[in-house]
Amino acid sequence: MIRRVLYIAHNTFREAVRDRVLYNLVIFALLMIGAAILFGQISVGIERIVIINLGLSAMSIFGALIAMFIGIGLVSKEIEKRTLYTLLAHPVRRWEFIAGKFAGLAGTLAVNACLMGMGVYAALWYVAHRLTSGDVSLLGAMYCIVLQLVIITAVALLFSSFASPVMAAVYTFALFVIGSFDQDLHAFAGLAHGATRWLAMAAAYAVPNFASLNFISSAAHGIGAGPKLLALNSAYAAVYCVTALAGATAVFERRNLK
Amino acid sequence: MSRVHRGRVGIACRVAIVLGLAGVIVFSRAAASAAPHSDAENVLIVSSPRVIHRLCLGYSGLIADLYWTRAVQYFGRTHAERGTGYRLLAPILTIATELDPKLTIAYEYGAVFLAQKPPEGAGEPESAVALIRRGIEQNPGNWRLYYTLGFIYGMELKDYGSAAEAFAQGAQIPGAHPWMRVLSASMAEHGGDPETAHYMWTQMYQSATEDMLRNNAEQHLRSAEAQVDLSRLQHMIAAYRAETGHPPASLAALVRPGYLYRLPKDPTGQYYRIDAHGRATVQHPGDFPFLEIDEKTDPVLAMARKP
Repeated sequence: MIRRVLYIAHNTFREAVRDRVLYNLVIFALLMIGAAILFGQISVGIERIVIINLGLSAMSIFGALIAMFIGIGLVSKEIEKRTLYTLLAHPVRRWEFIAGKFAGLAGTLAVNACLMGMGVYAALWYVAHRLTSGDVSLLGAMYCIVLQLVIITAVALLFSSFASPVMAAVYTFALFVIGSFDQDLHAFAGLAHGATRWLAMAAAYAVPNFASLNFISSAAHGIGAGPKLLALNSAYAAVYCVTALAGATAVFERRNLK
Repeated sequence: MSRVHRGRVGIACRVAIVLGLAGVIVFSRAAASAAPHSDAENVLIVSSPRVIHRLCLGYSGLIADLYWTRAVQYFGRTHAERGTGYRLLAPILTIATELDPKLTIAYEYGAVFLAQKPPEGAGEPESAVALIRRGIEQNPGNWRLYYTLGFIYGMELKDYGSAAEAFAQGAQIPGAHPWMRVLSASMAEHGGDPETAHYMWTQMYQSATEDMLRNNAEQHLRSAEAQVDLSRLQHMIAAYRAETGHPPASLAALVRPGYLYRLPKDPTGQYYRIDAHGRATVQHPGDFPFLEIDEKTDPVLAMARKP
């Protein structure tokens, strides 16, 4: 079972690399080099901060775009190319296919984020000629970005299991935006009364809370997320992904592929 | 299709791309120069920090950096144009610091340039105090913010009591520089003395980590030194005039009767001179942007006012 999932994941990773997904690293590298040189000349005292803010924001934005646009095509592309039929003719369960696809893209995003993280540290070294103990806090922020990307991948898979690729992209992007406002949704629910309060609260918990996974600004000032917070965020991301993938599997299981 | 034909098409495409890019640059520049002057750079399209915070989608740190860079550029451009209106400086700094409340450099440097008199600053010391107090609220463990607050109270608002209090509060923070206590005591006892001002600007010059602030402190120091020299020269000119009944034609005239041992030079190495009103001045006033003349206590002006 695990072997089959890993096999599909490995192939998904290879396919993503073949699709030149990692080419975004070139743009990222150019951004880092440009920022390291430019901000020293046009701004005052924020070379290090801007490298961290720009590097982590780019990691998050590029990763989110890859998760959305590759994630929505994970299922539909296999159906379109009819490779899914060949695969399902083997002793592969549908949930294994979904889990494998998810793990493959999550792995691609993690590798991408790791390489970008190394780029951020290299740019920091270039700007400050040294790394400080405070720079360790970046690892926590990067880890939380990967958690965000993993959630987006799961959500994209869920939407792609029942919607067309274009609509799945729209839904995923909308959820990404709403998830960034999740703390406002909770605040709104706190102010409302009666049924509105319960509806708002349900919506606030249903959308992914991306705001609580964002430590970019604090990491830029050397303030890291503690181990307890990282553990809780990991648990949150794991539960959210399992729920979204269960939903995707439930829809995919009922889907008539004939 | 033959290989020769494909090769020709390839070359033609590359030439078209290069020419196209060059054309885009040429026409873009021509259109920009032909268009009516736009004041877009001096406009804040969205002025509410809260709205901008919402629009950032969690990337507020990066947008704060861009706003801080915009503040630096705006200040630099307006200063280079010898402009006196820095009306956008305070709102841009507010947005930058609301988006990233830990961006201490924006409080520290922004407040100094907000407080200074035009054209060297926005001439808004009250806004500067409000900005730096917000910075202290958000970063209570940063003693340098108390230092900047005391500095603005002492040097710009001449409120030596508040300045002494700010320095004293900052001195209590772990890691604060020992001269914070010295500054607090100096402000409390000798707030308005030129020596105190000189000491403060010296500390600012030595502790500044950025060229922009160091250059500013250097200009202040230079101006303060020239001011002390000019004050002494005005007294000599007044004494010469009282003795001879006429003003000296040049500073050399003060050497012969023994008022001066030799012709004095300003901190840039230029000789001082006497202007058309008979007052001592510097050769290049542009090198001393913070030079202030106290018309009430100037002895030359006092003599000129006498009937």
